[in-house]
Amino acid sequence: MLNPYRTIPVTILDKKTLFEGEVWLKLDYRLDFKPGQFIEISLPGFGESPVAPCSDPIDNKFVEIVVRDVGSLTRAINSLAVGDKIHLRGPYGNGWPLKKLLHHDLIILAGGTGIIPLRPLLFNIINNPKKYGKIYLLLGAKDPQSHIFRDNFAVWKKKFFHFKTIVDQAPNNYLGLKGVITDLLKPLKLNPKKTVALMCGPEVMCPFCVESLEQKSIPSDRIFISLERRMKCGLGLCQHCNCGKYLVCQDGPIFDWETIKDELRR
Amino acid sequence: MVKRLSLDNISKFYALVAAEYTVYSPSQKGGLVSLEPKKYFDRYSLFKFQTIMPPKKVLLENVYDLESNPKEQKLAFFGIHLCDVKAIATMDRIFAKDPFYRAKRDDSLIVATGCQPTESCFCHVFGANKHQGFDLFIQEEHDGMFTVFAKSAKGVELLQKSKGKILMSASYQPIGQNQNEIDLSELTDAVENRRLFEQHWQGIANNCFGCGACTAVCPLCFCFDTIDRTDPEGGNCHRSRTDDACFFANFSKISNHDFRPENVDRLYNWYHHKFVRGPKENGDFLCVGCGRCITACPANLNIIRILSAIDNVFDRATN
Repeated sequence: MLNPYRTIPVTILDKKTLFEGEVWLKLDYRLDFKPGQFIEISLPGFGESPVAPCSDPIDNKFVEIVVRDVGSLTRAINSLAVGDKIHLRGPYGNGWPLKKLLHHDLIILAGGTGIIPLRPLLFNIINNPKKYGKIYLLLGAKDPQSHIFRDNFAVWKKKFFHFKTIVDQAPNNYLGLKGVITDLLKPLKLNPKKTVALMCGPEVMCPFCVESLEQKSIPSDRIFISLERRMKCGLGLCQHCNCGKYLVCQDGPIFDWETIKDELRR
Repeated sequence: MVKRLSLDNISKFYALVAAEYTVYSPSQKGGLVSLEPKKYFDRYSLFKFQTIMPPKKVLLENVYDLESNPKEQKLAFFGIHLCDVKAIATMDRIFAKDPFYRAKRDDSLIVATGCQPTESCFCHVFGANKHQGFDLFIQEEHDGMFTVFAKSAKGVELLQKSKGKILMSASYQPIGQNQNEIDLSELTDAVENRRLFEQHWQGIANNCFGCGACTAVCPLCFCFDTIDRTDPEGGNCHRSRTDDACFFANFSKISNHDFRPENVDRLYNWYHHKFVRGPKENGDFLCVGCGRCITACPANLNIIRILSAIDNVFDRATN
C-alpha cells in the first residue's frame, strides 16, 4: 500500500519576489493537476501547508507556486534560494468544475491572492478560446502592489472580453480605479442564462459578490467559490478542514454557493 | 463453531492466542483497568466493565515517522466489549486508505466478551449491542463455564486448537441494557439546526472547559495533527502524527482567520461531526454509546441529557 503521507523533494529552479513577503517559486517537478486543486508543501522541521499551484496545467514540466510569508513554514520557504529543495505531495481536492464551464460566459472574481488558484484556469481558457464564451475577469486588491501577476495583465486584457482591476487604497497619483470589487461587478450586463461565476478571495468578499450576482439573476448553483481552510492532511482524515458537513480537502476546495452557503455560517 | 470451555481452558486458550499475536487485554494499572499488552490471562481479561481507553488508542497510536513504511503487526484484542467492536468497524471504513492503521488492523484478531451496563452507557440506542464484527466471542454462563463462538476463519482455526466440548447449538445472551434512551429519528435534523438552539448550545459551552477529555476517550474520535520532530543528535527530522482534539483553540485556525473562535463553535462542531457529518460520510453515527465521555468529563456534561434536551426542544419547535 502506497504511503500517502510521503513527500517528494523538489528543487527550486527560479524565485521572484512579487511583493514584500510574497514569493513566486518555480519547482522542478511534473505535476498533473486540475485547475483549482491544491498541493501540500513542506520543509522538514517546519511542517506542511496547503497551497494552490498557479502554473499552466498543460505545460506541466514545472510547477509554480506563490508563498506568502504568514507563519514559520512560509517564512522559511521564502528565505530559500534557487537550487534549494522543498517537499511536496498532492494534488488534492476537486478543482474548478471544467465541464460545467464549457460554452458558458465566465465571470471570474478574485480578491488579492485569490487569483492564484484561478490562474491555471486562465491558462486553460487562453489555450482553448473556442470552448468558452465571453470572459469577464475582475481583480480586486488592497493596494496597487498587492496585485500579483501584473506581468500577465497585458495578455489578459487582450485575450479576455472584459478585464478590470480595482484597489482599496492607493496614492493620489494612482491612475487605476479605487473601490471594492463589487463596484466593478455592478455595472456589468451579464446573460443570466449562460453565465457561470467563479470566485476566490477573502471569505468576507464572497457574500457581497454573490448578492450582486443574484441581483443579475445568476442562480446560486452556478456560482462557484474556492474555500481556504486548514487542510492539514489532504486525505480527508485529520478533520481540521471541515466547513459544516463538508470536508474542504475532499468535497472541495471548490463548492457551488447553493451547497455551501448554509455551511459557512455554522 | 461453538465450544464450551472451563475457566482453566479459557486461560490456555489465551496463551494460544498470545503465541501468535501481541494481545491487548483489560489489565489493572494504577487502580484503573486499561487495555494493555499482556501475555497471560488474569481475572481482568474478561472484565465486565469498560476500559478507560478504547482500542483506537492502540490502532491509531501516534506514528513517529509518517513517511516511513509501516510495519505490519499481529495484534489481538482479548476481552473488549461489543460497543468497541462496532467502533472498530466504523474506523475500518474511515481509515481504509491509511497505511499505518491498516498495518495494525489487517491481521488483527478481535475476541469480544459480554459486559455489564453502567449508568452512563447507552449502546442499544445505536445498535452497538449486537453480536457482530468479532472473530470470537466469549460468553460466561451461569454455571461458571464459558461458551466460545467463532465467527471468522481465523477464529475457527484458533478455537479448533483449544480443549473443550463442541456444542451443536448455542445462543447469545442479550447484552444487558439500562434506562438511558435517546430518540434518534430526528436527532440529525435537530443537531444540524444550530441557529434554532443557539441558546442551548451556548448554555452547554458555558459549562464546558474545552479540555478535550471526551475526545481522548471516545472510540470514534480520531482527528490528528502532524508535528515535525528533530532528532537532537543526528539532525534527522521526522514528520510525526499526534492526537489532536477539535475542542482546542486554533484547531481550525489559518494564518489570518479562525473559523471556530469560540468554545461554543468547537463544542457544536463535535456534536455536528458525530451526528450530522459522520452519518453523511460513513453512514453511521460517530457514537456507539459507550458513555466514556460522560465518565471523563470534568464538568459533568452528559451527552445523553444534552441530546435528549435538543430532541425535546426540536419536538416543541417543530410540532
